[in-house]
Amino acid sequence: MKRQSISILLILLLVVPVSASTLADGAFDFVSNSVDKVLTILRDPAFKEESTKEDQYQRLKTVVRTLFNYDEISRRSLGIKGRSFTPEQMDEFTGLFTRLLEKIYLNRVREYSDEKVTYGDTTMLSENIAEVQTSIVTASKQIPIKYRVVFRNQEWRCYDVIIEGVSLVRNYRSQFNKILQNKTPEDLLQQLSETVNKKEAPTE
Amino acid sequence: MEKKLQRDSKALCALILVFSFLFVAYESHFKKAFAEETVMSADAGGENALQDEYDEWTDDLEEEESAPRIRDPLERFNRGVFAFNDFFYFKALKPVARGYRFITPEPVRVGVKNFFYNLGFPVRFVNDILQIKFQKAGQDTCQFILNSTAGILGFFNPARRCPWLNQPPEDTGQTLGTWSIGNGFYIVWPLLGPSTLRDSVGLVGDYFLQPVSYVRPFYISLSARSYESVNDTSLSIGEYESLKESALDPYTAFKDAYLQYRQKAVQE
Repeated sequence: MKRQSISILLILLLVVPVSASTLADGAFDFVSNSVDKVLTILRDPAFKEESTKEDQYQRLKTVVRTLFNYDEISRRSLGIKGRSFTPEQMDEFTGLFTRLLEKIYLNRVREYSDEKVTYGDTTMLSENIAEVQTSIVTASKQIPIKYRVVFRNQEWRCYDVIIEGVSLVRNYRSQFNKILQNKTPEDLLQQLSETVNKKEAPTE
Repeated sequence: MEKKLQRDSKALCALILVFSFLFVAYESHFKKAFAEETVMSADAGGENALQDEYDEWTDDLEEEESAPRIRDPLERFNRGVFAFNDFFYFKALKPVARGYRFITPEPVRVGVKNFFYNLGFPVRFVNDILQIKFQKAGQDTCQFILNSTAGILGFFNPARRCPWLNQPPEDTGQTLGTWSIGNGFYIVWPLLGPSTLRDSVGLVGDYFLQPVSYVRPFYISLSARSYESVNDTSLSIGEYESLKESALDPYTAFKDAYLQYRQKAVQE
């Protein structure tokens, strides 16, 4: 009897950390593969020409689509306030917000094409949520970027990016909450589409 | 004594009543919301969807609670200062930083940045001690000695090769934070940017711990500070712009980013 319980304990001890670590490994592989794909496209000499930029943008977009779960990001960014949205408004919101996020992510990522990306630890935050630490090393500093990923329907997807401690989802939620304090979802959608369609001012 | 006990038990009963009422109200609201969600996502997927929606909903609640919240009684004033700082950045700081960047090679600017960082050692050291982080105080001291000698007065950063020596810097605002002093309210200072009541007090503390502050006459000290900020800006042109462009409400976006950034800094 005693022996049996000991062996059960041993098996548990062996099994639990192993399964946890494989899940964490999965999260790490998912993020590092996606980031590497993005970097490969960014560094591809074939895209140095101005005429191929559009093609590069489209290919980046495809990779980034498999990295992020935009539905989840949209819902989390609205938070509880999302309850006042009709399904149609929600769809429109998700569409617009996806375009905004893609634009931001791809523009930012282009600025850092020559920098080095290093990977840190992966921690499991719950059964199916992991946080993968990465950082971008530039000449003058190191920018920590954490990817929060969730395992659902047999695949990993990113639902939040935390840059220097600032969560993207939370940052947008604070803005959406502020706007929805005295405006309707319709107004928010209007404002969102204006932001998406705004012509890019040169950063230089 | 007995009377007090009676009163206490009465109060307790009332409290339980109130809580159970709140709980029931919350439950029914929750169920309603939950039902709506499931109707909405009925076509989305199998049984997992139910559990997932539930997870998201509770996750959101948890995050909502831990998100930094702050009063902003000076919002109108702050928004004015924010607009002024924005104007100042685009009309003065950025053009100057771009001109400076044009005539100064990047390694030099990185060296200057390193130099000023190294000079700020007393701020980090004193605040390590005040937060009882003795190991970190030691690490910061090693970094300072290494960079001041092998790094030639801090222009180079040989300590960068040892990750162990590169700790996130502490300042007085963070020390006050670790002493459980709250943020107070949000303030945007002209030129200095976003801050809170607590961090403003921290800035005063940092001022007295900065060796540059003791350079006399005062205008040399001021010039050194201005030069430092032009140099820093020259290395980060574009960051402010892209954050501003990605925001629907830039004021709120910067406020939230500042608060999250500081919350993390205090926790480290």
